[in-house]
Amino acid sequence: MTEHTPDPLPREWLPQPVGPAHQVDEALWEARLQRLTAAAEPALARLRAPAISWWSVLAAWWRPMVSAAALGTAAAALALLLHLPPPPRGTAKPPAGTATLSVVVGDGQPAALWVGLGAQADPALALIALQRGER
Amino acid sequence: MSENDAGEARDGEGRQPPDAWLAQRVQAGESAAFEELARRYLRPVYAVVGSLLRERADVEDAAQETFLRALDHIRTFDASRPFAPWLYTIARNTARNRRKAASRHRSEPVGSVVVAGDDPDPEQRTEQAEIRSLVATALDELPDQQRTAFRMFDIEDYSAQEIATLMGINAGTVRAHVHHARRALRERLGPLLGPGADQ
Repeated sequence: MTEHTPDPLPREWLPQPVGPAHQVDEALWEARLQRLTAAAEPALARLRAPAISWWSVLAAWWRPMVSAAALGTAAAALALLLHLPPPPRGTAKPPAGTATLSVVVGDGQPAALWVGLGAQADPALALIALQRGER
Repeated sequence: MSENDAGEARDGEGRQPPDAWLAQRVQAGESAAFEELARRYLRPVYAVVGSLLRERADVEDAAQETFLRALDHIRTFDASRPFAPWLYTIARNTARNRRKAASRHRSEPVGSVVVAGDDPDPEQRTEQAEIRSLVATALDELPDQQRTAFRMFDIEDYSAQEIATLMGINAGTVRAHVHHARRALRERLGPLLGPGADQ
């Protein structure tokens, strides 16, 4: 820089300093420092606390006793499943007056109504079906 | 070292512990190390955020927030690198973020206080306040680095080397920033300064 540096502006025109030039206000700086250190304490406490990661939690859980208990529970559940009686097959006739699935699927078709509900569906319909030999 | 003697730590020749060492203690959560670092850098950080913000309340909040943000990220600090520029970057970014929101708040501007007894004439005092307002507006138009260097050198009385250490640049660059800032301000305030304003 070969150019001459301009003189500073008159001091009274400049904003008030906040730093070294105001050494007299030590109490203010001390108060600021105390406020800061108090606000920082929770973050410092977090830094002091040991870090907890997901794998450390997993490692703590995966201990022999815990794994043995988990294996035992799994084996008991499997044995219970194997020894349960199989569910009954759906061959029994539905109780009288119950609409069967075929009626629902038939969506009102006369033949489906007849097959599903028989004479209860409609006497006239029953007659037609009998005449056609559908039952 | 125990919790309460980081600030008192001295080597055999009475020198203070280096920033990097203190920062490593802070990484381990030592309150005393944090307090010592804060004591060292509280005023420079106030000066940096004070150079970028005009509202006194914003300066207070931004300076405190700078240290708390530094603490939140202290584990990312590389102790093999200088601490001051790392903290300066956080201070600058914090102040910039505050500045974006500053228009929502209006309070007492930094430097607007006229010290009682300096100038008892009310008319002159009003004139001084107007000039200060013009200077503050002209300062706002300077690039951030120029403004910070100017403020710390011409207002806060830091040396070029101290500013350079804080900003992570060399002292010659600091002087260049001050040179350009003074010239820009004199051009802007020329009519107030009268003949020979460019000197």
